[in-house]
Amino acid sequence: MKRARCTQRRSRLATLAFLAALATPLACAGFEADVHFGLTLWLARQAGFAPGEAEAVALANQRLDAGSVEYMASPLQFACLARFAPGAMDAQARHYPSESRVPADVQSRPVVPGGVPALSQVGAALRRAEGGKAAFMLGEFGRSLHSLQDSWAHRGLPSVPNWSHHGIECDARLAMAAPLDRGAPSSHAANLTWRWPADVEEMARTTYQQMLRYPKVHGSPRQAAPWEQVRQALPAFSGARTKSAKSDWFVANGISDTSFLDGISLPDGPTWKAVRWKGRRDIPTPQPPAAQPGVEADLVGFYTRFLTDWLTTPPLEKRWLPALAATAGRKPDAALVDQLMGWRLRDHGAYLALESQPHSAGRSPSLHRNSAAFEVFQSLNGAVLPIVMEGSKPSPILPFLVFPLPPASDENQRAIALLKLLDAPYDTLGVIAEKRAASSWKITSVISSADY
Amino acid sequence: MHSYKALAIAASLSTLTLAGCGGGSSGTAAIPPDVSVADYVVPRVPSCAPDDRPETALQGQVPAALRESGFGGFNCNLKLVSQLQGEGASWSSATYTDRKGQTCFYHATMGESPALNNPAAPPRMNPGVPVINITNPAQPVRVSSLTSTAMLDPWESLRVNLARGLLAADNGVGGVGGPEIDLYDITSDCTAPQLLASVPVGTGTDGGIVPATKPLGHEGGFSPDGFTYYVGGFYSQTYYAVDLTVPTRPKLISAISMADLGLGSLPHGLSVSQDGTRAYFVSAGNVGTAAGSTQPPLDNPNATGDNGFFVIDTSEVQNRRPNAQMHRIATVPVRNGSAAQHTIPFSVAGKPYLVEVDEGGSGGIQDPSATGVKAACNAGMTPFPLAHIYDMSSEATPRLISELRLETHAVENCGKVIPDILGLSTFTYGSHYCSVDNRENATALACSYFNSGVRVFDIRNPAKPKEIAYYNPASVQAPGAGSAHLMFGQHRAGGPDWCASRLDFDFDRRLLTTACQDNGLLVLAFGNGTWPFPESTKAVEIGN
Repeated sequence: MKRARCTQRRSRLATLAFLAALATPLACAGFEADVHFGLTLWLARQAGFAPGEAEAVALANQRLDAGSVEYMASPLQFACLARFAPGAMDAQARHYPSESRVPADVQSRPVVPGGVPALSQVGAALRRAEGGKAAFMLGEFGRSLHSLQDSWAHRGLPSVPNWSHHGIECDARLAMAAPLDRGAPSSHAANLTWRWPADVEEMARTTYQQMLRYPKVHGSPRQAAPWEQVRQALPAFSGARTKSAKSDWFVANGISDTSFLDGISLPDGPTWKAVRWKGRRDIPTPQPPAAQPGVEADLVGFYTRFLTDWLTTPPLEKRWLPALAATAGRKPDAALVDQLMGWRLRDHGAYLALESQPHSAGRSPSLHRNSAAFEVFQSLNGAVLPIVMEGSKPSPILPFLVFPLPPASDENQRAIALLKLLDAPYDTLGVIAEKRAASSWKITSVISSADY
Repeated sequence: MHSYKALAIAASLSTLTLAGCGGGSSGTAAIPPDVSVADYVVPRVPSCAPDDRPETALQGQVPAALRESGFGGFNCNLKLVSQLQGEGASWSSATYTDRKGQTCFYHATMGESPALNNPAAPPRMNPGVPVINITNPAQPVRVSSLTSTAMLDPWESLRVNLARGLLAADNGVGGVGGPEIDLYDITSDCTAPQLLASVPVGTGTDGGIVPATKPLGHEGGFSPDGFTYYVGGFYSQTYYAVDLTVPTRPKLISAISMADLGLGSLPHGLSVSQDGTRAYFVSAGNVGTAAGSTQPPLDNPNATGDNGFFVIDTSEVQNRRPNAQMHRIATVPVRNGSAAQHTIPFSVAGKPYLVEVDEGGSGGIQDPSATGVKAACNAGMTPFPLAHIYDMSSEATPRLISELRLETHAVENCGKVIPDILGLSTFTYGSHYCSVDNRENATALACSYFNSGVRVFDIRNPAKPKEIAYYNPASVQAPGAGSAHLMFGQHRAGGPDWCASRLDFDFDRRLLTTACQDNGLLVLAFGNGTWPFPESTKAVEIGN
């Protein structure tokens, strides 16, 4: 009986999220694993690659994206808090290919879909695969396709995120976020396949062409499907607006395991059953937060306690409320509480969809009151994708990073903790705290940056 | 630090006192309970299966007459399941089971090197590291060969890391090496490793530090978490720590020279503790001034020489502290051997131990007239290299508790074995690599002894290891040019092989996989009841 009620609640939640997604033209979603892994895998199979070869191409392509400690890059770090040019250069090469390299003004860094910078990376990978090396260069080829594919999602001039009202200044010569004409920089709209079907088709066609150029593996010829046949399947892929719809497309096209869609920014949809994707590298156990050098112990302790409470206790109990800064009425800011509840939703796509609606209509009380909509993690480490400091020095792998921020106008100390949630792998979250006179640290706001 | 050193030397000297006691062992299975470390000869296997081919002379010996007539091989409680000779093997190998359940074997082969060019060798057809699918252990299949820079000759550096599914090697070409490190992803499909990086480290292009001496590969090994790969730069006389957090961008983050470590000898192999905060680097010494170290200290019982191992604090590397440094905790001289090869930390019943393996005997590296062997015999010291087991209860003062001495190593048998090896140089009856079945619950130790084959020991009592199985493959008539045995000019028609690679226990299938240089891949099966023991458990990571 209890299980039946729970199922009913899940069903209502899924329906609500699905309707919200359909009603929201600017819903955040993604040119994420659905493209970089799923579509790439499918295209490679159509191009005649053996299943294992196709998977090697797709896996390496996908692993360049957020969610893997190895390749994680957030403009919040490399352009703002750490200002690390090599990190920006990596991010540009992987996601915003342009003739002009960072550091440089964004006006000089247009991303041309299928342009020379993107194609040259593919060309280099293809050359390195010659000479009998094709069998073990599939991954490198897959990584080169990532940049090519993102050149459609990020076509135009990158935008510069603006967190100055939170006291975070960024170096515009290093920063890059989705072009403004493709959606809000903090959203994932630029990568929403259903919004850009023509771009998706062109991206897929170019990807396919490059796949056909790949040298024979072990001398074996490949039998590729005609492009026209491949093309005909694409509109349904592009048009899918939920994980359920995407999953249905993949299953119908011969890819039965669609768990790679877990974590993408599309809402779940009516039939999606959330499972963790096994294709991700095993997540390393991070070192204790105190291993971050140069950060005050009491600040790290505060963030550890807050984040542990927030992520490892039932969200509806809100045990973390005392850690939030109180407003004049001595209650935490309702919007901040809603934000913190929203980021905890297992279906992050639904939260993003609701967030993009007008404020009054955007939040769903039922969504935030449904315990089945949240995962309660066993530990802080279990709830996050560990991250590293971007900089010239090696960094321990940590569950979150702490950076000092300039003091508030009343000279109160301020800081920000960056973390990536397992359920929102395409975003970096910044939890800002302030230490007021004669008081302890308190959470004052939450910001996020859409990663790649 | 000074007090640590004093303690370490004191401990070593006490060991040397034992080592200098001289022999009295009969070399048979009956070992008095109070026998000294220096007198302890590992008891022979008590019994073999009826269809085995037991050794006919001393334990480990392939007598001269057999070499002359054509050595047909010995085995006891280890049976050949399959073999893939290929073009031969060189110094290192590794086994990995991927997420799909496929098991693969990789081994080093000799690269092109002017100094190690044997005109009589056949041409190479498939250079590099062969990728061999041993999912069906009875039918190994070479799928491809890895030919990126370091894989053309990884020398002794080829390793896999289970935690992250990485295959790595440094460029050890010809033993002299280069600064490159190669990394492959083998997680998803071990039969098709995918190149992640093949780049020089420590030269200013990797984003890491630039050490005083540019890295030159030769040996290497992972930290258990797979986030650090350490290079033992034999010819650059420095140990290096390479950060693998981003495996497509390995970068050098710390280095420590032998001079920093206080010895003028050479780096070689290494191992890292389970938590990554300790490394056990060796000092390949006692091989003579021509080879860059002291003369073997045979004539002076008070001399410690410069062969042995270091206990190193690698906490700063493991924790990725800015400007991470490695710090020496202890120096442990090993006088009863030379050319230290590598180490493995392990636990037995929760107690910490470490095995250090040499590749030179007490008289140094062997020459064709066996001068060093004879000198060691005359000094009452072990003539051939072997493994030494230390009690690590106090890491500052490791205590020698046993040595893996075969009958061939016993001083009283010198006269019986020297005729077998005259005209041969370097290794002959010595050890090279060992592996434990499970570092966290070790019950068995397998070692490659060049001319004596693969040998497995019960180490449930590490102070009294007992042999439980061996497999010494038959002579190969036509070895390939990937074999170091051939390229070193040491292959003799009818003579035994050089077995020199790491070994991997396969708990689920009761197998042992390794490579001997002429014979190539050997998949061996333990006889019923030989291993695992009731106390054995499956390892969660590679043996060393």
